[in-house]
Amino acid sequence: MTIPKNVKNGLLHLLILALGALMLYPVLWLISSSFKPTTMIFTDKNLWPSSFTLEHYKSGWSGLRNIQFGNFFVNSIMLCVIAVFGVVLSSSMAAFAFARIDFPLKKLWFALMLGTIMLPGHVTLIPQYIIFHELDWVDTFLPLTVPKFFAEAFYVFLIVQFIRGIPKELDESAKIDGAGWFMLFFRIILPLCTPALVTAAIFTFLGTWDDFFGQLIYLSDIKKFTVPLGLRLFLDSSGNSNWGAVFAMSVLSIVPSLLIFFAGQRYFTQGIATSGLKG
Amino acid sequence: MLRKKPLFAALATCALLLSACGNANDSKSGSGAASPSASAKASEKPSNVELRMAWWGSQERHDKTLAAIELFEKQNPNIKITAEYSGMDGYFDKLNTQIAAGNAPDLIQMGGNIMEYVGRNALLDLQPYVGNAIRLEDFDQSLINEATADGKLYGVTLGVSQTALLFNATMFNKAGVPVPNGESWTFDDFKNSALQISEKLGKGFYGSYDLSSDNASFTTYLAAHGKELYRSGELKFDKQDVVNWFSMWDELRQAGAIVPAEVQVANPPDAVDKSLIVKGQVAIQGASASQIFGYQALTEDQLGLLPNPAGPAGNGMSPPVSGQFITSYEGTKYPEEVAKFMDFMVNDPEAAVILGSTRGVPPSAKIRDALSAESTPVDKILYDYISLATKISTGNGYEHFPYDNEFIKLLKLTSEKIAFGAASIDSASEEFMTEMQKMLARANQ
Repeated sequence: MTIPKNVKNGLLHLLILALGALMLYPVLWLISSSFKPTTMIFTDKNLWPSSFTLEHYKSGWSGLRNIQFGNFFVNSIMLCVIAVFGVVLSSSMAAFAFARIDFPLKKLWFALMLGTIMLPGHVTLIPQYIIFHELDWVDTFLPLTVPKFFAEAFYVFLIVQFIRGIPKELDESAKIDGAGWFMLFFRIILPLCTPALVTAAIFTFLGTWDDFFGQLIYLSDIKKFTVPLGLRLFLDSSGNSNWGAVFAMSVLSIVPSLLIFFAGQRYFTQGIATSGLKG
Repeated sequence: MLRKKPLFAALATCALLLSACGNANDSKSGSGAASPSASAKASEKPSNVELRMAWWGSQERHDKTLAAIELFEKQNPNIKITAEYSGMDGYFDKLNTQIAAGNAPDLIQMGGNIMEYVGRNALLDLQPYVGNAIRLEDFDQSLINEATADGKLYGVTLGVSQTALLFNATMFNKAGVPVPNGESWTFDDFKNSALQISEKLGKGFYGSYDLSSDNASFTTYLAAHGKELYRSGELKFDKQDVVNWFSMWDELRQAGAIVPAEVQVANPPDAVDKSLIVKGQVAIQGASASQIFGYQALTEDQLGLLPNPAGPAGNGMSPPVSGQFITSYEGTKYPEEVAKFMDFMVNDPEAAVILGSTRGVPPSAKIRDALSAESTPVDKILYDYISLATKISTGNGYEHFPYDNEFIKLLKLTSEKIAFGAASIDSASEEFMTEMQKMLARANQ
């Protein structure tokens, strides 16, 4: 006896749906809790709230003294845009150099650059802080943005792998037509690298959007706070946390990440697959 | 086409310029006088003083503290205070980084870990300001001692707290069990209440959490029976006390009056969001008194506070302790203004009204009396409790066991072994004593 193909497919999809629902449960719980009155968040087990309130969204958005949660979104988005621009531009330039240009000690520099990936962040934290403090950059956005313009090793590696997959003949024909390094980079290589660049952009965006510790260390003025810092404002160790506001603002804070991810998803998988295979 | 080369060159040079950046901040507060380490800019009467103040807390605390700062700035127009506040997450990581870089705030809120920072010479000695800028006459001596090391004061208590039994009054009412009188209740009363509540309310409801694992309850029990956990290098109890303690809880466990082990592990009482007292399924748990705000906010049931039950030697509780301190960074340029603000936080009646009990009950008795007129119902429960606890505490003072964290873990482990039936009370108590003796030997070496 054979099982018809569409039944088999249906069963498979049912299984996948069930697993998906299981994974989604915490997110659904978060969304549902953000609409429940505070006294019911931890006592009412139903996902569908029996009494519905928008209070948490109001108190989370404008309940803070002297500041609105919207400011945190503006700051976070600004940081993310600068970080994405800086990382994509500088990393792709470095990657192009490593992949296409011959210069002395190229292998050594490449190894050193990869070495920075292995260095744990905790080791460099305090020296870095001291440098930025001496520059008088603490409590500004500079420590969080300027380093992004010095390329990040992981993305350089990713893009190098991708560029190596682009036929050299293209470079040569461009050179014959009189293109210099910059023309070659901006006109030929960069457009062909789009999937890798989008991957780097998405990773950078998500990394910056979710970064808590770096932003905590360098930003102190509440007017400069970002979303991760803003969310923590509602939490207190002694049990006086405003859970409702935390949940409501958390729901809002995942929206940009989701939008970016869905918008770039096609390139995202392509970028990983192509650069990974050639590695 | 963009030419990036000049920009890169500029940035690279800039990075190379950052080599010399150690902090030469070596002043020690050894000379008795205040020794602000920082630059010579600090003059006698600075016209424009900028202070930075860091604290962690909830939104309510942020709002109230900011309002108090505004009031202070109005009274002292030459001083401006920049607030640096955050949640608890990462607060000390950030502080450690700032201290390492010599860039810590002038005013720092501290918790029970104040001595760790005293040991690192990170905090300013406040002793020169006591009696003039900082008035502590209305403070209980024990609160001052907590922030004192080698005769020097390093912090001013912002709020007082005390261990307590948190109870769900609505459950007592539902079960028709009278709420005990905290001043006189005994371990027998406690057992009876727990048994009656679980009996009347039926399956899934319990009179109390299993507090046999709770170190505060255990040490109070010992003191209530004329013993002590530890004093001057010796254990002041014996195996029989441990057996009695666990037997009392086992009796309640067999009768179904306390939370079974597997339920307790999944719903620990100290996690506000998981506590079954909030869900109205357990009537009594241990807590720090000021935590009542957090628990009450999550439930419509009426909560209350009780002292630990009394034994033959009285109640056995220690006097209230300090919850949080305001301290100052050792490298501050303006120690006098810092001292002035500290005094303002704890002794100014207007500030007290603004701050309320957002950092625990105000430490000054005078301020507490002034406040009780305008307090909320939960405030009143807390104030009344602190006053009661101060009155009935035997005042002997609790001496921390040298390996306090390990003792707490050991007690919990022993309690769970018995509760899960993995060891008999006798053998578990025997093992508990052996381990305690081992730690003691290690500490006395």
